[in-house]
Amino acid sequence: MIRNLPFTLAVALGFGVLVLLPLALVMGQAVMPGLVDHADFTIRFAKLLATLTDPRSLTSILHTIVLGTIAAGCATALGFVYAVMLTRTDTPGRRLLQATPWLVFLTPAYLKALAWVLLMSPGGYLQQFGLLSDDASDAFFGLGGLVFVHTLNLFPLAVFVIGSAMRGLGGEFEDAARTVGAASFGAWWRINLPLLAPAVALAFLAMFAEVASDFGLASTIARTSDFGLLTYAIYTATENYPVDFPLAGSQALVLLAILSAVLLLDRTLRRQRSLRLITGRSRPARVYRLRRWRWLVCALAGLVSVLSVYLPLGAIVLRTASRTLGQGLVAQNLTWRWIEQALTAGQEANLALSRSLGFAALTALISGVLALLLAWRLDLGGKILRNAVLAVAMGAIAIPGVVMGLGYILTWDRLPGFVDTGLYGKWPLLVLGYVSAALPYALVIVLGAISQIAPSLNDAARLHGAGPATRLARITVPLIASSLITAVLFVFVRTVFELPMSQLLQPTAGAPAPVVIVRMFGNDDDGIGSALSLLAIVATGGIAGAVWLVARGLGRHFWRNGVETMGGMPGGR
Amino acid sequence: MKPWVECRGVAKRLGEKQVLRDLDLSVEKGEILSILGPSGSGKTTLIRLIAGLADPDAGQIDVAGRRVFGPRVNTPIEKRGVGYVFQDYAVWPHMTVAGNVGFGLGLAGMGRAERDLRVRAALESVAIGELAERFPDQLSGGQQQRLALARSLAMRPKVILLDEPLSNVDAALREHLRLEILQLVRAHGTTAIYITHDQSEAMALCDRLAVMQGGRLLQSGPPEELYRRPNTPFVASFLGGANAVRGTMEGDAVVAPPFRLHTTCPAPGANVELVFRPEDALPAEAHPQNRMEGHIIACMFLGRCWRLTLQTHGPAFQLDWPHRVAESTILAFSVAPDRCALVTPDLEQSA
Repeated sequence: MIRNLPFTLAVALGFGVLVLLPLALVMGQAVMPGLVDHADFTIRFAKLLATLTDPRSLTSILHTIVLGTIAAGCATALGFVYAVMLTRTDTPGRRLLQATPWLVFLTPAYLKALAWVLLMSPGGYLQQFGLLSDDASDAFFGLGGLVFVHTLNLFPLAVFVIGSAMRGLGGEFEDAARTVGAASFGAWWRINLPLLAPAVALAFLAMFAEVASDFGLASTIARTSDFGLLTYAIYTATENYPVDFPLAGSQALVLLAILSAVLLLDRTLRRQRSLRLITGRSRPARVYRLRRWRWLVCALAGLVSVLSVYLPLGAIVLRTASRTLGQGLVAQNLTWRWIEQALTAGQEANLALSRSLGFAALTALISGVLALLLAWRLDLGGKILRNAVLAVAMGAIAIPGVVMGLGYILTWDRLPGFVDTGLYGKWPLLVLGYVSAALPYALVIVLGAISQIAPSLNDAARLHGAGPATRLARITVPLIASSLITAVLFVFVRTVFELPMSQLLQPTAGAPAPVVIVRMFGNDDDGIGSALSLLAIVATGGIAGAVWLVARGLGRHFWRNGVETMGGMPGGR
Repeated sequence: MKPWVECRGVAKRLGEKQVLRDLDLSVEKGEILSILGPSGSGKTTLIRLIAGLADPDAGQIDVAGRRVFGPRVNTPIEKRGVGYVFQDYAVWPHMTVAGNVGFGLGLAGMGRAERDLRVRAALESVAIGELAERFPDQLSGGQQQRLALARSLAMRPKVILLDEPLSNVDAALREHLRLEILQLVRAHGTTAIYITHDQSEAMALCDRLAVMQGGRLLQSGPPEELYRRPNTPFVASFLGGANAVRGTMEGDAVVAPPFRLHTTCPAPGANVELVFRPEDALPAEAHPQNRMEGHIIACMFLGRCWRLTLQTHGPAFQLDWPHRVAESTILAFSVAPDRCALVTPDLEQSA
């Protein structure tokens, strides 16, 4: 234990500065209005109460809860049906339909939101094609549109959670019910649904938390529709002049309270015994033959795929290739102008994209190395430290980016000692923020892989004379290489499109791509905004794919053919 | 002469549980010692302590005449010269067969040419020389087993520790590999400690057998001695199963109503437990002074004999019988006095 003391202290310090201190400042700010501005530690609830009673704030709190409930409900229902379709039916084209949830999951919410604005706005694509009435267009900009886009954006989560519960459930329970005389529908209603209920509830809670923490839709569709939401309210309180930190702090506290309640419900639910039934070995359940209904189901699932991925992407491609939105799909409206502009060095879009790719690459490397070292030491060390770090990491994942961003501003722009570093407004602080947001994900992935390695593999290496560094380099890293690369690429993709941290911590020298994209759409520069989005998607996907291919090739080389060369290093150090 | 491997007063606690208590153990040079015990008896912990994969709380350990653990001594694992074959083999999946065997030799600073020779020789000795460039996932379970053994033997360890190496192999292969391991270890002249919970494996593989229970060494000696003269009910029952009758000594007989049984075994005290093995049951007329009787409540065919369960007016016994006996039949049998072993009842609980 003592041997681990320096490591424990370093980990505590790291997480303290990166996560706990900013969070503590946000919460302190909510009840101590003078905290960062006047170093006044007096606790006054007046501001918090004012926030809770002020009509504007109250509306955004209500909006957040209402939108979260409805959107999570719709996404759960859609996800449930989609999961049943994928796991229990013989719908044609399931291989293709299976990819949809992953594609949706990997594309950032605000890009889809902006695309839907192009589609739904008055004079937008759907009206040009005569598919949308003025009333429907109006209705989109408000609760209806937000629920619609959130549902299409989040249902993959429900497909993953409920789908895996369904596979775990298998067919025995249902078959047993059929043998004692339950009809197919009865078996579903009395057996499958109650057994799946915990998974459905967990999916609902997770998606509620996602909607409540969301910044992407809040700063696009919701902002345009003047539909106030907590996350965007926190952002405006820190951006609009005069800056109102006490207001931002108390709104953040309310948001954290809502999320904590969700987390608490989630924990309670997970402790229920019925959940454990759904694990363990089971035979795959029978697949329903849909007969002539299969093409209808296929068409409906295809429609979901089109609406959630292909139509929004198509709108962005179309807008990139058109001079203006209003002129529509005519030959003289086609142009290369936006792509050319985005590809021209020195242009704002191009600068923003290179910045973002650079920041993301740096963040991915730092997070990968930190996650590897941390996971490696945690795996050797005691259970207590490991569980503590995992708890902080999971907690950090649940904290909305906009709240962490606010915490970083309070820390680095106001806290004596931190202010003196002069980091605020500089790019290294943004990268630090990115790392703190991404590290928990990377850590969870890498730690999961490392704990899969049988301890005897390392013991055997020790017995053959390998020291800690040799074991890390020649046993651990080669064995978890693919997870490590997955973690690094995940962080890279996530960071290129990360919006809230980018928005709150943007360097004064120049903003990263997500900020510029949202601003361009806001300023009706949606042509160049679309081109930048498209280019960002292509570049990120291209880089990630290339790295994956190269890594796999190298891995094959070392793993399969090069072991003799590795073994040939004298002393192996 | 000093033993080649010696543990004295070794104790180890893992969390709440005292895994090893004041344990003494010695192994002579070139000897194969089997340690037999149920899971949780502390046998794996013991060899992990010898290897240096964990540190004892108390006691001392010598390997090859050198103290490797004791007061102010704790030789690092890699300097102890101990080989270890893991239960799951622990062959590195990202290295070839040759890479696995050459890994430790390379770390020890051995040159390329010499190392290749050693690797080749080690693989030839376990008859997987032609698989040198394969990866472990392309090997069968038995081949992985041999690779693990070759990897350890190539390091020329002073003692090789084998942690239930056959527990992941299917029954058909186990018998074959058992013999092969024995021959290999003998051919290398290596001292070995072999851990297992399978009594037939333990007895087949060793020069000397040690039985552990609850962190203690109960008895050690040649396998036939432990089988014939167990010192505790646990050793008797763990080594092949035994029938037990509790009674008191009267001269050379044990009185356990309704029976009075003669024995040639020296009595460990006034109160004893008499044990005999199912296969020692003979017809009643063979040893009339040790006659017992009861009715048959079950009869199972085992192949080489029938296993009878016989209910007496006292305890029930298991008997191996040459022919089938119908249930409810009254049967009398006897046991030779020299096949009746005496043990102190419940030694492991009173100690």
